[in-house]
Amino acid sequence: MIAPEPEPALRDRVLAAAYECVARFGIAKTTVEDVVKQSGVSRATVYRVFPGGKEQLLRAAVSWEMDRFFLRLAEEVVAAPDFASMVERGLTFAHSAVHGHEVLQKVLVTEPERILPLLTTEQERPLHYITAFLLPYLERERAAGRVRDGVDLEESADFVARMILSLIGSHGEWDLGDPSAVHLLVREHLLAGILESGALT
Amino acid sequence: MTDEQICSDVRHVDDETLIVISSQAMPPSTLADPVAPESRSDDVEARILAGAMVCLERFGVAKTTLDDIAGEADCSRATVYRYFSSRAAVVQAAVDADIDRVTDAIVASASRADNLEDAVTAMFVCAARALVTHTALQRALDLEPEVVLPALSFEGGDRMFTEAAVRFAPVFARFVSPDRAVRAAEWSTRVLLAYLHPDRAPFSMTDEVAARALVRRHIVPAFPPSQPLNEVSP
Repeated sequence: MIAPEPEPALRDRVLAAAYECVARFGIAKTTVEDVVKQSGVSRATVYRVFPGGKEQLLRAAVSWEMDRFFLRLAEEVVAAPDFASMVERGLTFAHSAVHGHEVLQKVLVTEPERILPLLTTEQERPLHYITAFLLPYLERERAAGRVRDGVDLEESADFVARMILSLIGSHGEWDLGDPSAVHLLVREHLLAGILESGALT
Repeated sequence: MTDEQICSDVRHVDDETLIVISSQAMPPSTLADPVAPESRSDDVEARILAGAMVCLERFGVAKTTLDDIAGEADCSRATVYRYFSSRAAVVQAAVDADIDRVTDAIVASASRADNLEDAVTAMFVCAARALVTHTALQRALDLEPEVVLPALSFEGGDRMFTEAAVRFAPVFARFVSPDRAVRAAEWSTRVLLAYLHPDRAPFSMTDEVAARALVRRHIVPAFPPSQPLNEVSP
């Protein structure tokens, strides 16, 4: 990553442009020149902000879009009445958002060998983001006496975050578009070791 | 070969990761069944498959050639072609055979367990040990992730979880109802993989104490014994 960001707005503009170029041309065919044109930022400036050139730019663009995705996810779930409902909403929203994400779905079909390593190397960010997001809500559950004895809240937030990422990436046999399936998944399996049964009905 | 030997054998890998390679190594159109073996052919075929695995460790998936495999198996190209229709078919068959062996080892690792916690812990540790020491897989993950990852993520991951669930369900069927067994196998595979990435895992799943703590906390309560199958809570 780059050291201190003097111009976050400029950086955002370049990343938005890079994302737009990937949407239009794909990962392989996008060039720094395309991003320069699309962003209206000078070539010299693009290279100053992203001295690593195309590879660094694309990596940052993937992170940038991931951050936006998880911010939308956070907005979607923030008003949920309790932890279990929040996780349910999050899974439902994330599943449909991933499937409806046109750029992601396009590159997964056309350039899986390019996008998957990028997604994988950037996955640590959402893991930490989701864990940090969940922790205060788990603390609230504990304050309400709804957390099982002996539960380490940080460990549990990390566990739930990992499983959410697993399910977002591959739902397997779980139909995450079916609220009753998500209800079962979250309350009988995902949170069974964390919350008291009273908090899971 | 005993479970322990297989689990510590660098040539083997856990089920999920092998499915990764197997389903990804070749485009489906190049997959082909081996030609019908002739008499005494089993030895030759096994030698070719073992040779192919050595090549995968040494050269990786993309760069292994049919000549490499023939050389390693100490036979001619023509002999390889008598058993397999293409380079892709040999590699596929070698990986499939490895999947079967390692799946069996993981299932067997739980055979002496008499409760769910012991069974899943044994499976996790066995699978993790097989994975971290698996030369061919680790090489592919390091040097040609684009070959492996498509089968681990998104739709490839869906197929992998489904396959793993079926293969591991018999272990779980000893402790939960049959319908739940498939689900418990799928869920446990998911948990295992979520903790396997070396850079991101909070602990090593090869550590039995740590693995057991995770299983006890998060998996055992999710699959209580003799609980009736309850598709949808009211």
